Amino acid sequence: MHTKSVTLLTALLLLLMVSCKKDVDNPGDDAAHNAITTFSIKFSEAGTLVYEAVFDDPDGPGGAAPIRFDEIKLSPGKTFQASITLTNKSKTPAEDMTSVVRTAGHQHLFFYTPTGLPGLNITLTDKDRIGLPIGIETQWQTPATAQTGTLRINLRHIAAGKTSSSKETDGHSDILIDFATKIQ
Amino acid sequence: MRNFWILFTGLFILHAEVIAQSCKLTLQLTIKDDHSLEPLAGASVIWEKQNKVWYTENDGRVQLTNLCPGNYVFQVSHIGCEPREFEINLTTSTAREIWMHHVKVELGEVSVVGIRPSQTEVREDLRGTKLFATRGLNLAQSLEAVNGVRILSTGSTISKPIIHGLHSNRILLVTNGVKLESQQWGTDHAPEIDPFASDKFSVVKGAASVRYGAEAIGGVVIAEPRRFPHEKGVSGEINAVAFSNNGMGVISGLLEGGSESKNPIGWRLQGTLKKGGSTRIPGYWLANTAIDEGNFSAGISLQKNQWNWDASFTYFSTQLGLYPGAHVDNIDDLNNAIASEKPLFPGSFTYDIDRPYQQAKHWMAKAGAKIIWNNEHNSSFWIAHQENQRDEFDARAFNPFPELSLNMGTTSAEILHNYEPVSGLVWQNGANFSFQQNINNPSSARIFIRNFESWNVGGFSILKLKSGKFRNEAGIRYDYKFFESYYRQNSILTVHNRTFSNVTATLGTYFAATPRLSLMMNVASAWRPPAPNELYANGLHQGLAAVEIGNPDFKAEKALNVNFQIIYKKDSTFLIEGTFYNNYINDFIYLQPVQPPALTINGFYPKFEYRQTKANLTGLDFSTSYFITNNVELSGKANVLFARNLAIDDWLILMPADRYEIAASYFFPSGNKFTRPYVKASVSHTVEQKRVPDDKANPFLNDYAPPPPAFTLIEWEAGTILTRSKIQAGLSVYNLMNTSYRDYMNRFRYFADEAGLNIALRIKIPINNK
Repeated sequence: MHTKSVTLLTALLLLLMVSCKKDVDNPGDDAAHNAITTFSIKFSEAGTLVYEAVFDDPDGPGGAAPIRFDEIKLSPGKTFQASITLTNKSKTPAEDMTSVVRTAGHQHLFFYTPTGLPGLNITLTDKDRIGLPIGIETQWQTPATAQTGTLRINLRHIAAGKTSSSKETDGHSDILIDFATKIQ
Repeated sequence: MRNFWILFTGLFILHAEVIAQSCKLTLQLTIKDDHSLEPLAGASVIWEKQNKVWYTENDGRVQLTNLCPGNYVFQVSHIGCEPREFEINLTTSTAREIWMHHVKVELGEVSVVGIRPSQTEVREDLRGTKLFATRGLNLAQSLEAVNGVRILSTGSTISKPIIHGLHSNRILLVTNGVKLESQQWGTDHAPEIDPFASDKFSVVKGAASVRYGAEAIGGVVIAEPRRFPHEKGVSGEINAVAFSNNGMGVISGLLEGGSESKNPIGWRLQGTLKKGGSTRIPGYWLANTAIDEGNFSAGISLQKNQWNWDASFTYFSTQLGLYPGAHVDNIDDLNNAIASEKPLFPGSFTYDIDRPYQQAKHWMAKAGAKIIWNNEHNSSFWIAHQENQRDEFDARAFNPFPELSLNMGTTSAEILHNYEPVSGLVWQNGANFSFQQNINNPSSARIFIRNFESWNVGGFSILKLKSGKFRNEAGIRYDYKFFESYYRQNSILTVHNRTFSNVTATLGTYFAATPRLSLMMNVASAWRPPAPNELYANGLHQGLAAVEIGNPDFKAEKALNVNFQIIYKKDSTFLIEGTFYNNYINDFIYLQPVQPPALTINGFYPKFEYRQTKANLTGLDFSTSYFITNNVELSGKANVLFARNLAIDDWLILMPADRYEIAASYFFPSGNKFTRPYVKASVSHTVEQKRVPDDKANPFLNDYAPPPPAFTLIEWEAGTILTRSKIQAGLSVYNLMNTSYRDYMNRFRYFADEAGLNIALRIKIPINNK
């Protein structure tokens, strides 16, 4: 009787191990879905592309350091149309994140904060579905004289919902880049 | 691995070959009060050697059946009486009377965090009234009633026990006799254990690897399973607890029964529901801090000849909201949150749970048996499987899936043999096995922990010898672990494996110098293989802005722990206990902040590297209680810890600050209506932690913010049992003065205060249909 119980229990142990076995040795790709790895801002003058600044960290936070981090360089005394493109390069093929943010526009707001760049004016020109600005599309008026400073671009994710009085301390940060900026 | 199976199966068969003697003797005991001469109902007779207990009926009688011939030592105890030992050499079925002595001070017996002096380890139990006074709290908060246990929290809803400065993967949680296997590496992952499923918790303070295996460096928490009834009838209890602070309600029910036949059967059903809303901190509601929990367990036991089979199933499920203000994204956000006096995220009272939140589900199935071959030999074995599913939902989301989704499955088994050739000498041999798999579910957005598979085997031998005033214990153990991880990036699969093996040993002695004074000392080694996050982390640890970097070549941690305990006990009126400990840990793994911070698309993140060092933890736990009159008890506790990082000659980060507590209780005389009503007030003082890393050249590497100041809390408690209905009721008031304070051991200390005033009302209704 004892030997029988023992055989039964050993069989049960094996059964548990086999039936609960997982497919551990075939992991999915470590590709953060809906992560933003790459930021690009394109400046156009009267419909013509004049400059592009990029921050690119294709493997996301941690791991390898960002592979590209440009300055923003613009001519003085002019008006530019600027447009942001967001991409998730950790996935193959790369995933467009601009449309994802635009779709969730009522929870997102870009803040543009210049430091040491007097006379630089940035206006948000796009609207989300409730009629509030998002800041993917902007208009830049550069000062008449040469300047050097920093421009902070901060995308806030306000899960509770954006209002006309949303502040930069609301919600969470999705993107925070301090671009060295030259007006020359 | 095949060899192991042959060995394992062989061990089983070997046991089955041990020939059983006829064990058909019956011992009838009648337990009476030596003063009133009345029979005592509900007195317990404990056969410690076999971990068995019987209770007397209304006539003070109890029948112990199926006993083998031989020498027996029983512990007999009854509320209000001095416990006594009863020894008998059984050759034929017989009957005996046992006289119990009623102590004057009734309440000494209610003492309840029991120190077990007869062990050669520092071990303390939480049960009875003291356990009742923690009902409704989570496991770690309940265990804080044990001196030397502190808690590590993440906000008000998540907490983990700390024993002698160590937590998470450095302590072991044993539930239903099986080691809980879940993502315990995470400091914000609470243990998946329902405290209501147990009526007694034992805490082993200090290293205990020989008996419990790897990871038991700091100690072991054992949620002891309730014993199955083996007599006719159905009984049970209903527990209900309400908390004022977060509108939390907890209800837990238990039903058990048995049959009194030739082969008695016992069964149990148990379940708990818990729902709590937003936490109130002084002045504010803390956003998104609701909790929702549901647990159940079922078990059955069957006694046939010398075989005592049992099988059980346990399910635990919880959903916990996390304060979104603590889910920061970069150094700027973190500094904004730290600088703000009030919580940055406005909250209101709600039972709703939004992102960010955690969800954990855990089930365990276990089957096993104890076999009493004869008076000299007994064995036990079990097989268990557990599955843990953990989902973490970040604050930001573009889709409804969890950002972290891990599934862990563990199959484990243990076989144990006790041999007692002469009274006082026990030789215990055992072997453990476990196979574990961890997998990232496809919806998981980030692979913080790689997929892995791990095989563990271990065998141990422990010799216990009692002679005169001494109890000695010596043990040795060998463990082997094979660990293989799987990771894919850019379609390239990386397979990495490690093997670990280790020998641990323990040596302990207990000396009853006088009937009142006892001394205990033990030396134990322990080890812990590095956890998967320590090996492979390379990226963002969501929640608390940090980039963490592991090291796949880490060695196993090895600890050498010395404990010295002194207990002086005079009747039940005066107790003084002190435990001094020193734990030296080689290759201690910790997180070291490094420069420069990591630049990401979302700003700068502090960067941490896992490092190994030599660490030394020295501490003292002290407790005393004194009945100044028959009704008034004064008590005190103190915990002191010095934790050093020897490699850089500095303090270790995140170690509990020293804490002192004094309390006064008043026990009213029992009457016809109320049994043992009492009131208790306590004041605890936690000092400001000044023993923290102090890198003067790079002060920003020490911590995000300095440790919070010292705080003093007042608690108030009352309780009684209604004499006729046996209903137990209790009232606790936590943070009576609604003090604003922050605890260094709470990860949310940067963002928000601890919970304010909280009043808890508890009731336990026994069900009896016998």
